[in-house]
Amino acid sequence: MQALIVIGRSLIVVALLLTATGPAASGQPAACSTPAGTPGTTPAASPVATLEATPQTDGSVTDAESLAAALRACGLTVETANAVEQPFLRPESSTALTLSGGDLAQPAEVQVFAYADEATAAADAAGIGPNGSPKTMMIHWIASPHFFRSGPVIVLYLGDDPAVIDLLTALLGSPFAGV
Amino acid sequence: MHKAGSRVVIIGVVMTLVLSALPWSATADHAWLDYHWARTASPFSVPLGDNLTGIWASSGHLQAAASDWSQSAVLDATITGGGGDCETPRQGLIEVCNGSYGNTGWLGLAQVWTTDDGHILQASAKMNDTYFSVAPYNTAAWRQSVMCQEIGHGFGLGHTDENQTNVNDGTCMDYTNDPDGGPGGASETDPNNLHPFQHDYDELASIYQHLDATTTTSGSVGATVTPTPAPTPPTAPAGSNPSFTGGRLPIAKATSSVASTDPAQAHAGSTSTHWFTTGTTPPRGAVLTLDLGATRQLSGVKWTYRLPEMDKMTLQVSADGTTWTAVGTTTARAQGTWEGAGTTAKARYIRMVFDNPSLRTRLGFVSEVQVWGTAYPQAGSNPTLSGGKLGVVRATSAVTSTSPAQAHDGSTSTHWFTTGTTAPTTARLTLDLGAVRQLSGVKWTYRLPEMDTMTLQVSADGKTWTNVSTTTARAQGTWEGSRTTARARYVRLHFTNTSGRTRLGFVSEVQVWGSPTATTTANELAFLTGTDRSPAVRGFMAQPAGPGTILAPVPAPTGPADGGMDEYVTQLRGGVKVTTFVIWADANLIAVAHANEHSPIGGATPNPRAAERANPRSPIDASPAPSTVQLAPTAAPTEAPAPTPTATIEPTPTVDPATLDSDGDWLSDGDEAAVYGTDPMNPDSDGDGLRDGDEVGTYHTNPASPDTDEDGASDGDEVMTLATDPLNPDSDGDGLSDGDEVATHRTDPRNVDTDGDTVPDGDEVSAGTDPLNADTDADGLGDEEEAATYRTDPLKADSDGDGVSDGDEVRNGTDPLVPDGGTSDAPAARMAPLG
Repeated sequence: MQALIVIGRSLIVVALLLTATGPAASGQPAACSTPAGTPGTTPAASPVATLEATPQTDGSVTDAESLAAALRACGLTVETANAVEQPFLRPESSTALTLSGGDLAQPAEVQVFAYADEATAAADAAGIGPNGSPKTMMIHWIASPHFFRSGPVIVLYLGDDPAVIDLLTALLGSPFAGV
Repeated sequence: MHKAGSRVVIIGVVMTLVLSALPWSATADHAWLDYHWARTASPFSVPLGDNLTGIWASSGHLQAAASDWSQSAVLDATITGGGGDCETPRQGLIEVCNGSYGNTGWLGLAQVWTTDDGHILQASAKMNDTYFSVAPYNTAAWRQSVMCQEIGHGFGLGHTDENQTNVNDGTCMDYTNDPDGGPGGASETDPNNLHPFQHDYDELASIYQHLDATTTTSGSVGATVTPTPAPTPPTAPAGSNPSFTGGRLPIAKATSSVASTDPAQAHAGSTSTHWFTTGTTPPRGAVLTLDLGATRQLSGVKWTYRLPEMDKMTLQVSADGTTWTAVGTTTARAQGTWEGAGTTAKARYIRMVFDNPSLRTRLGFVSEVQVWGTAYPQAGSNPTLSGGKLGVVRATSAVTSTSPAQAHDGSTSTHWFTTGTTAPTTARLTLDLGAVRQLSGVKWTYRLPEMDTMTLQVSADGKTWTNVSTTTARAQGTWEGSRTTARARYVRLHFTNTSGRTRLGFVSEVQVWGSPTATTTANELAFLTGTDRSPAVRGFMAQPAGPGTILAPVPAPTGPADGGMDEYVTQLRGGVKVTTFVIWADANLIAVAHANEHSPIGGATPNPRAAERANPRSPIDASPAPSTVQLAPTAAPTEAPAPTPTATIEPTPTVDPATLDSDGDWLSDGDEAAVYGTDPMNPDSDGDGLRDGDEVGTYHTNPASPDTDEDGASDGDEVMTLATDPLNPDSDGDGLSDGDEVATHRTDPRNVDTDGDTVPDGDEVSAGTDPLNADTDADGLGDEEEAATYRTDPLKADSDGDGVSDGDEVRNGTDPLVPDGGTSDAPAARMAPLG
């Protein structure tokens, strides 16, 4: 009986996690759009705040290129850096993107892992604990990890710049792991 | 006790999910799920596989971490040999590795392999040198903190806190951005995160309070846990008087962590004076630290109490004063007799750490401490030596042998060994460098080592010899060696034969490394001063002396020709006007010296032997062999009338005792602090693999920056691995930085056109062609041919899209820009544009 209670509770937790980690539902504020009623913003002054881009939370981010395009649409400068390998992920390809400009406090790097299919990406994502480490690993990150997933793409940002986190959240949905 | 099978898996998953929903707390328990080593008895030990290289192998971080974790009451961390790897660890132990794992975003990564029951079968701890090789992570504190944490994970511990920007918890299991605590980070006064704290030990006791039906560790189980691992435990019980090899080492300074009597009384040579704490309230503990002034090869430490005031005393040693290794712990409190502990550590600092659980009002009451050992270390395996390989003018053997020249002929196929018919008791191979040189070390390799001991010795005059190292290692066909900062002309390998060998040596090759520029001490300079006009002395040149002076290399001589004697006043030192001379023989700097105003070098009496010491084949207009320019090793007092040169000439900076060089990096402590902004206690302040002194004097790179030309490749890599210019971000001038060529494009940073298609690498990257492929689109035409000759697209095999590759069209004589070779689109292509 107690085991059933525990399993029942776990299912509730699973449901909550799945709700939190899935792509944002329709109706979420569009990425890069100006909040309604915000006065005094001009396109030239703040591209991130004023450029109206198509919301990307509909799954249109499918790889590093589409993420880079979406970020550029939000006014950021995006440069492609080396491929990155993480011992606990099995993507088809990986890319590091260096972001700058916009509201970013300083240049930031995000790691993009593109999978052949969404199921594989979801499986890898499920293996990452809330602290950013897989179950059988403990990782000493150089900065706070934030993991995002959108369809077949997992994105890792190490840092605490709210501008980066907000932008990635708008594009990819809420982070599914990280501290 | 543990549940098995699928039920455990389900519960484990559930627990994982439940735990995953909870925030971490700094004070909550921090077990890593239910991972633990299975064992049928307690206490137990877990071996740590030492697979470390580079600075990790020499810095003692693993030893310190093992010692720290062994303070646990339930487990012991023992260090075992390498041979494993962190991808497929050996069962029953924690493999510890370092490597450049790339810009992954992590400093360290611990991994466990477990059973369904959470029993750890094997584990690994990886340190990522990609980050540890650059600031801010290239410090001993960062290395120690991460090493300690990753090993802690291997025992089943998680993090106490995962916020990197808050105040340190005081444990290595806490995330931090300021591992050494104190100033910097979230607090000016927070503790360091270099070691475990009590809560970690308590957590381990909780994790391992039960026993299992099986054992998964390959270490001992149920045996008494010794408080410290690899270090030698006390060799003498309380009341004994152990004997140690070598001699008593002088102690430069002693300090106490709390108010006390004069710590110097603990090494005053008298058992009638004592060190003890003097506060009015019971101290939590006390530490007496002894500084030898330089790293020494220790053999043991002895101490005696007037009245032992302590409950437990731990003896620790350290090379740098930061990372400590425990030698042993004792609760013996014999009064008035000598106790001691043996150790084979190389250390500069020794400290006695007194605990005070019974709240004694005073601690210590130590009458005397003696540190025993030798001033020279054991030889090591294939050390990296700075400078260059020095030429050997002559080699000699003290006994009948093969040609001694075969030991320095550049070939490991020829050998030196004794050839007598009876067993020699000793043999010596002596190498003469021709002049006194600043050495950085000596390396040697054997075809078949024939010896029982070999002592490496150096000498400036061939008479007085100084031991550099001694070894009984007899590795075959590999390089061994020792570093030294000695200045010497002669290097000698002294072999002993206690086992009746019929021959000694069998040395394949000996290399002497150091600065190719010879400098000489004041005494040696005496032979070349005064009115001496030896033909070897072509000119003089002075340069400013003092902090920041770079003595070599110096441009070609510009001073008066023909041995003219000029005096160059440079500066005041301590109120005394000092003159610096740099003396040249042809293009070779052969002497540097300073003279004070009371006895300028130019006024010294000529030395009648100077001329015969000068190279007889070296007239001014000739081009002598540089190595034959000889300086007299020492001045003979009878040949140096008053004022004696030794009384009036100051030593060169490299031997000036006033310019202490604590870390042995060839920069004085004063210069490091005032001129270069480097760490006087770290020979490689910026962690780029080059010694600070070499960066200043040899490579002219910035010793405070790991990448002087900011090209993405560290100075050390550029000098030692890439052979690129550490002062030029684009060594081959192809438009790509050296770092980008290596890390991004995989092109040769020393070759402007890596693939040989005559298009520079940088141009290819800009154009989108492959700098590693002379024919990017594989159409049979080189990239340069397509761009410059045929105007075809080097990225398209068929520029005009007619179905025939550009290369074929050129070979067939058709126009690769006109679609005439295909079938479907050829007619359209031939149509003239509408006008």
